[in-house]
Amino acid sequence: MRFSPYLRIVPHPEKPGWSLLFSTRKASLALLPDQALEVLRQGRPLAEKEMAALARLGLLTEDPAAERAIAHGLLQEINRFSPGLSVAVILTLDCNFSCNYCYEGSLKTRQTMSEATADRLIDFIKARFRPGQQKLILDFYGGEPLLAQERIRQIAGPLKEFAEGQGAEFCFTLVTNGSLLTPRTVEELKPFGLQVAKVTIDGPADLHDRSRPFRSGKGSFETILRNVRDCCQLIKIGIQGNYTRENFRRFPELFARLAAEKLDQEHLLQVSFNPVLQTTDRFAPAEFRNGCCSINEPWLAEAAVWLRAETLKRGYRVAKITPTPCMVDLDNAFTVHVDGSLYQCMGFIGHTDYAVGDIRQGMKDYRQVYNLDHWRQNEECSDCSYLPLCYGGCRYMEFQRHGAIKGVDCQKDFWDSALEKMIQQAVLWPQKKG
Amino acid sequence: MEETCLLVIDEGFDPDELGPLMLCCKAGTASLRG
Repeated sequence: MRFSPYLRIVPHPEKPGWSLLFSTRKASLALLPDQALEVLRQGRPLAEKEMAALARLGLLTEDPAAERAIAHGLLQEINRFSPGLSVAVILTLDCNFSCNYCYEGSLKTRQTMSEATADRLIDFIKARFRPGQQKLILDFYGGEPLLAQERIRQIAGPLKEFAEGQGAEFCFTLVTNGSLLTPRTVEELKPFGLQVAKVTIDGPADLHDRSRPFRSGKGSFETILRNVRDCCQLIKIGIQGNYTRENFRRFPELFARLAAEKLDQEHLLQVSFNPVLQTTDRFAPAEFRNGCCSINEPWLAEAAVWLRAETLKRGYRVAKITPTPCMVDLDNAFTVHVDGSLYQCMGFIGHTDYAVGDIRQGMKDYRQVYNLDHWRQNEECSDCSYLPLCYGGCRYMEFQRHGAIKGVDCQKDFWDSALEKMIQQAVLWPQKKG
Repeated sequence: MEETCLLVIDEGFDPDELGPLMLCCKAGTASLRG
């Protein structure tokens, strides 16, 4: 038995003489005395049941080449096992906010999906939902999706009936600015399948109100917080915040306010903070210059690790470090734009070169335009221990930097800086299951 | 071959556990718009 090519060994942060063994392929984690680790390093075995456990966890392997083949085939395996169909729907480009970094930028208009397009979308999704699939999940995006509640009901109602008629589960989520997420709205939408709302709060009130004001210029923080507090017993709510290099250190100030509102881990699905991207395309807001252009910017690893620790310390759930496929790589996931055009990633909406068809004429072959399997042509990716965490990185970031998906968005520098501490966080602040 | 104290903290994941709701990037660089 040999060490897996996807094994990362890091010292236990609090127990000298012990090490943590993490698999980037399995996302498994084990604790082992350094003496035992030394035995393995010398090529000698431990007790049979321990060797079996280490192999089961993907930490040891008989055959590193076979282990690599499994990692290289993981996306196909995920597609094979995928239990359902996931559709992101851009319901409207209208928004009642004026965020300084808005990714829609000049794409934002008053346009909302028409009734006829929504009807066609229902038929399109029904035709794509294969017998035997267990889940149909819609993510409503915008603009602000709650400005188009009638359209939500129009789409979700028939699809819920359809999916449940097939013996499948149906639900939908909202990616919302939270300003219209009142208990009354939630109660009205729950019978249509609303289960989760993902609400953006950019740190404490003054920071948030500067980056995410109402279109009038008025601050939105208090309205959002009140809505989250009033709705958190009715549906699952996840909070995410978008930080910059200049303001990330103040984000934990938000936690005091969440605590004052009794919004603890029992009431929130997850809290995650992400860097604001610096978009550079033709829709990008001209005045905004504080976003990040690469996951490998050195400050970002520090910020991501530190904010994750600050979140875990307070008992909130954060995203686990696991192999997580990009939406582009999934056969059963796509985005529908407000006009019915189709994209493989919601980042590309409006960039018609990346449209992969539409709901009237169907989906085209998108392998070339999205540079599918680009990492397979890259020798460094093939042997990289971070491959399962990355699979060529984010195509949207690559597009923003180069105007095309020319190659991989290598994340090696980020993981070199961040992974050890993120593994250690798992034992410093173990997460409760949500 | 003596027994050591291997402690399994996390069994990891199976691909069939990866539902569509898990779509996002780890560092969140392209996770959610809105």
